[in-house]
Amino acid sequence: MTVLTFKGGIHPKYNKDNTASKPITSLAAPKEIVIPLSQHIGAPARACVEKGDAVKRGQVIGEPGGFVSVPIHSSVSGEVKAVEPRLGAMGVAVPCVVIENDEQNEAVEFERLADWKKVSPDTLKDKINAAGIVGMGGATFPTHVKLSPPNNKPIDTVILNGAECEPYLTADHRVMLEHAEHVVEGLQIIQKILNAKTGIIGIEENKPDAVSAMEKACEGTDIKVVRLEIKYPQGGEKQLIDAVLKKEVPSGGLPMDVGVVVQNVGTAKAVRDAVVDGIPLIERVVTVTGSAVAKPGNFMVSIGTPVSVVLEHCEVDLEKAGKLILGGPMMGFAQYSAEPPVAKGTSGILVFEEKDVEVTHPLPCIRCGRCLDACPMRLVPADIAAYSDKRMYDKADANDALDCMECGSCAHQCPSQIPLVQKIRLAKSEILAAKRKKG
Amino acid sequence: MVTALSVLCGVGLVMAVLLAVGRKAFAVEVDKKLELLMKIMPGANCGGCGFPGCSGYARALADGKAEPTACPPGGPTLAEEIGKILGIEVEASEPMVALVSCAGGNDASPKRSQYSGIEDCKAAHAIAGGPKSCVYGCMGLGSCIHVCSFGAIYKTANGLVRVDPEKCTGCKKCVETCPRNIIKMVPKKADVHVLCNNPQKAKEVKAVCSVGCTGCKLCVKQSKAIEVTDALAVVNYRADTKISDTAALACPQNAIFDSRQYSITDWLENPATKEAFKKRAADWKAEEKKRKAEAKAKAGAKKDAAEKKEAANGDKEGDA
Repeated sequence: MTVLTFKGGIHPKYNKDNTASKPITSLAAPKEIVIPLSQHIGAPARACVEKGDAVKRGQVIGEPGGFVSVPIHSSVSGEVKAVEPRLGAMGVAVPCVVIENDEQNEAVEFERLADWKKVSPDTLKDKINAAGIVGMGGATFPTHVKLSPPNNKPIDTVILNGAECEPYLTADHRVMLEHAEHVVEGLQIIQKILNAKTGIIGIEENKPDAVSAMEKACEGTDIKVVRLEIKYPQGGEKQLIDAVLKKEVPSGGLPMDVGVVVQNVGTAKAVRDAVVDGIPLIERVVTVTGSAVAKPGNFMVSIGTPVSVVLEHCEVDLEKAGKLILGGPMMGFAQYSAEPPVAKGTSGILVFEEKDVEVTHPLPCIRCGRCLDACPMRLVPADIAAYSDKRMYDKADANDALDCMECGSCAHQCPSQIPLVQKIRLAKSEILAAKRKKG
Repeated sequence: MVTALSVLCGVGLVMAVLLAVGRKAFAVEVDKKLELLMKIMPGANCGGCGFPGCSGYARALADGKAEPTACPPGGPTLAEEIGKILGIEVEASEPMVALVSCAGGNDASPKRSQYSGIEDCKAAHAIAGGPKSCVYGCMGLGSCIHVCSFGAIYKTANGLVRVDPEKCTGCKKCVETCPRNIIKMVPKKADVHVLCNNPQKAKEVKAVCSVGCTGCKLCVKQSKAIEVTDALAVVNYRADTKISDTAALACPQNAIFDSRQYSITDWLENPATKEAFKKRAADWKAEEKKRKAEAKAKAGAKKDAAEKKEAANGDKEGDA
């Protein structure tokens, strides 16, 4: 079988062996659950419960704040203790609903749908919207928005992203192994909504068991399973489209510009659960691993469970920890506290011992061009970073800084350890600020 | 040779005549005022006036589209000169300087995480709210230093930045750059400042900084020119009242800086100065307590005497 890929990218150490063979186990929800009202890209949800209210599992506690927004549901039954700002994954306090878990696990009645094939696409989309589903690979873009392309942009292909190219993470891998049928059914629902004929599932070669599991689940359907080269960022939307379809998304454009929608395999499973079982997005698979984790594994965690609770379960000594990351090591967010809760986009919790944490000391650029070879978007990171240093943001824009997706490949390859991504990110925010000012 | 000479001289003469005539005929009219204005511009091209450089400002002035007081580096002297050229009255404006309203250095507000990224406050602030435990405080990475055209901003030893009021021209570039809005414009002659920018309540402030304002309002009792909004004391620089030095002494957090007593460098970087101030403040507080107690005792005694008198009167009345 041929192995597909794109130009550029890097080969970091994958370190997935610790958790790849560990089945997903459920983690009991703790006494106190903290659910952020903004776990997605777009307008934050508005709290629709108050202190003292009794809530059930699956009950809506936050209403969407706009079209690009999703409702938030309670992941436990109990009493609302407070609606107040708490520390979130971005390092700042965000509005949260704090719920005291009564451990009765009393759920609202989930509206099941026997045969989704007979229902109109709009009804399916409404169900997905009502379930609060967002992209679960980590970008957390509301799924119903992605499934509503404008009429002039017909979609012919849906690609499911099972690459899981971030090192350490194995959550998607386990979902594909343990819920293959559900993932395929989710893809079929997405195809029906978009009226897309082709469905493709892309999986990196280092997961042969997942490839065969998915191939088995796809038997009797038109869905194709393709193998991808083991390379980061193989799971990037534009890289995946390049690898699978040999199509290039135009600069500044979206996959729908070439008639494609890309969804994560975890999202596909969530779509299936929402449509068929009527269960909103109230729990997700989280990979907990790293050198400071005594008992690594893949866990089904209730949304709103504080990271510290998960780490306690995995026997992590936070005193010895040198670094805590939510998400993958390449694009995740480093934390200074274990207080933030697990949110819809938390695909992994990585904890490293202090001795494994490398502190970088940037040196001058030697014009070696390794960042250029690594950039999957075919940009020249060193140039954009240099313009950023000199505050020449218009020049950075002319060099397509806004096309950078901040995957970190360039900084990973840089022999001078220059924080290229941070420099480019600064340039991007300045360019966007200038554009907003212009109107 | 004579021919050659005469031809050359002839050509020269003709050209000279042509040039002389051309100069008169095709003269470009230059505004005299603009020329004069260009000469007196400070030439810093800082953009503080809101126009593209000094020449842009001069042109706008000549066209009557700009205020003569808009040039921060030039200040009132320049405004006066501009007024003379344009033939208008210029009201003297108060010179303003930038002030970094944070005194929570590394000792007072320690770092909560290690940061090894680029030396830029905006970039650092974008990563989990920055490495400093107080998210309203100065990170001292110096984005403001880069934009200052006058070299008026410098780093202190304890991880803050400071504006030299003598070098500051009030162009406000640093004010716009600071991602946390810590830099404020204050009158150059103002001598008392609240060096804190954290609007949170006492408990939250104390958790992240030992010199942060908790909004306790003890300073407000000492001076009417200090106001408390959102649990943060702010000096009302427009108020006419002079702030007494007891305002700084009354602050339990030592968040008020009085430039009449100490230099800013000593205040921020010299522990001995802080200790001396703390002792002074403690003495003052003790004295104040004593004074209050005495006043209370006096009032009590007076009241007692009055009551006795009243009682005596009552007795008398009763007797009568």
